[in-house]
Amino acid sequence: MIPVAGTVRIGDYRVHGFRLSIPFLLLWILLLPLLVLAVPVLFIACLIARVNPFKGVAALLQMLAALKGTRLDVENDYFSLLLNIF
Amino acid sequence: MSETRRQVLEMLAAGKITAEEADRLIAALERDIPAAAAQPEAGTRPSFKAKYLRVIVESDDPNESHGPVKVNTRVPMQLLRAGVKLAALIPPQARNHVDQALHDQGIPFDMSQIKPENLEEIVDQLTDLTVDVDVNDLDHKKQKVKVKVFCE
Repeated sequence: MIPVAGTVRIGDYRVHGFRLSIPFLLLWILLLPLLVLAVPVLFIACLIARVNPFKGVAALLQMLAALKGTRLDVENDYFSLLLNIF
Repeated sequence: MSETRRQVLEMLAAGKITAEEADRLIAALERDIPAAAAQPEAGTRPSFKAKYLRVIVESDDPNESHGPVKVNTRVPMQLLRAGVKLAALIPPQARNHVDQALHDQGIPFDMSQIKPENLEEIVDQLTDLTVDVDVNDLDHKKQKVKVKVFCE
């Protein structure tokens, strides 16, 4: 299943940074019409690159779905970044 | 002597069951006991399937101006599987470029050797992976970098 939500935190949000929750589910719904338009372009790009377009799209979707559970947390005295995908 | 076996013998002594019936009951108990004993043994060795690859880096290098750095990443194993599948779709000419670039960086790596059919074997090997690296500044006796790679 593709990720449905995510959190991005840049800096210490209690002091001067911010924390943003991203509802990916809404994003996917908004991007769906664009994706439909992009399908022929992707298909042609795959044919030019001599890649099976169906396998390519399947692998990309699989990768998107596999992002669920990813977490990246970097911090030092001046900067902190947190990325969490649910 | 087990409680159930004692009960069977007591029933035999009380004349509630015959010797043949007692024999059959004890034989049935003996059949059940090894099966029951084998169950916990199998339970003690569950097949561990790692879900995430964790990389934790802690650096407290005093020469760095931005203070101690902490990196904590959690990468789903499923993403590694999907990545290998995607890598298999890279056209040969692009793969050669990648191999050449890696070779120039001193990493002799052949991407064509990564095949989806060997995928599970690669991920299974990663399951047992644990890397602990401690870099110490011997002059100042101060720990500088700690890297931990493991699966969970």
